[in-house]
Amino acid sequence: MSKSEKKIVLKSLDNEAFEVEKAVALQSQTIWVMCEDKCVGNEIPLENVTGQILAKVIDYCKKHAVVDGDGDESSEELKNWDTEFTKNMDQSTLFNMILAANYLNIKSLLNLTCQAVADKTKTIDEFHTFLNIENNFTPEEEAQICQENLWAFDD
Amino acid sequence: MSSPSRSSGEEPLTKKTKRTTPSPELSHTRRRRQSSPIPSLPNDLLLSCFARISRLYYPTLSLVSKSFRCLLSSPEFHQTRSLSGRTESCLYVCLLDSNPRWFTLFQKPKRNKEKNSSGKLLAPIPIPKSPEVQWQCVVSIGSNIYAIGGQVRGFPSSDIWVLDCHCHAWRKAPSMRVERDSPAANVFDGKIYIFDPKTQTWEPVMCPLADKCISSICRSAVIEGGVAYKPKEDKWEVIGGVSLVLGWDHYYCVIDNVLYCLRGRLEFPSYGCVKLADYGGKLAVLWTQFFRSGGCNKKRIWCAVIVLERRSSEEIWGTVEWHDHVLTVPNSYRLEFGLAATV
Repeated sequence: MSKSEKKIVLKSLDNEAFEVEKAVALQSQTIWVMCEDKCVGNEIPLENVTGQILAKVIDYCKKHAVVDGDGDESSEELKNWDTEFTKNMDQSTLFNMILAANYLNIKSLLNLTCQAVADKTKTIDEFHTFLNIENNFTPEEEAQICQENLWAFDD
Repeated sequence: MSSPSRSSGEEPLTKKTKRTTPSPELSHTRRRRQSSPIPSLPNDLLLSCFARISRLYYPTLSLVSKSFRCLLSSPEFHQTRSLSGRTESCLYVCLLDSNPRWFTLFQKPKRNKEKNSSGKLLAPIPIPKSPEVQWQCVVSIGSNIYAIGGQVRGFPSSDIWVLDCHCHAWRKAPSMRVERDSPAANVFDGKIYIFDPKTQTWEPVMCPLADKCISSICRSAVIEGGVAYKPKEDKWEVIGGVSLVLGWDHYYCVIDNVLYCLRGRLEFPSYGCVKLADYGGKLAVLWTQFFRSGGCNKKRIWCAVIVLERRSSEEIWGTVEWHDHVLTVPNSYRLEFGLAATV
């Protein structure tokens, strides 16, 4: 197999092109199916992912790729890397990463990003702001619920 | 479906730029207009995120919004949790006043967390229509808590009630063949075995007795004198001899085939009652402490979670992960049950 056959070009929504190892790109089930199914050539257009997000997805896939038995990264290291990877992502990036992981069908990345959202939302305020869910209790209901829960908070 | 005449709290509160087939629960969530647009996630992905949040936070999350509260107890939500392997052990505690009141352990949100505090509390579970039974015996299998027999208005009952810990609702299971007012029950191999002190026999309920029990597990029952039933051999045996009998009171539990029982009362000053529970392989100890406050007699419920580590065939070490008082109640409340369900 020649070197060029092992490479593949991914093209983002905003026409940014990324040349990556095939083994890296094929972690995406979507790309895998595209490569299997039709003659897309060496360039695969990804219409739902921007270049900024695609770059991050590729970073992730490179880290997680097992290329020719080169995957000797310990699972502990990989876990730490994953934590760092999502740690400082803002909400918009994180949501876009979830959408991209879903579209590209990369299960482990989808798990990781969904977990990151879960980890960032623990309090009611975080829910209201981070996920933009509005409080739709009526004032009466809210008062009742607060009353019920005061008991638990009361000491 | 909300009628136009309903109050604002009932109107559908979701505005999504793009809507996939919405789940009935999430379709009631509205997203606010943003100055900088944040992509909205389709419902299945939102669900996937929520399913990863520990149940310790649920009492808080149920205050987020009405629709969210419904979502947390929906079958769809629990299916997602289950499919993504996010089920976890949850500690349930039953206190008895005139009626049984059920609580679950939850984590106080960070902003309220004081120093030196675990931030753990018992939150009341709103369970509609608790059956009027005085139970002696509860066990859990998976996400269900089974309350077996007991007394209804002073008479022995053959009823078996099931608390579904997904939606926190009681339902009735098929009754036992006879009434039992103070049975002992243990779970072995996914089945409940009940010991009837009157007839001195074990009886499997919920499903037929397996022909063979593969493991040599020895499960114990609350029987005077310290007796254990070995399903493999289908016989009774006194275990541990006299020394065990002395200390084997109501305060015991079995974790990974080891019987833990509380002996002596040294470590629990002015305590009223102690319960031990298998909390997902950890040992949960619950106890009560009496105190006076503002001229009232009150009771503190304490909880300690101990991580167990087997260092050799004879040595098991325990490390206290956290301990804290998790609830204050009037002194009339009695600590009835403490057990964990997998939800």
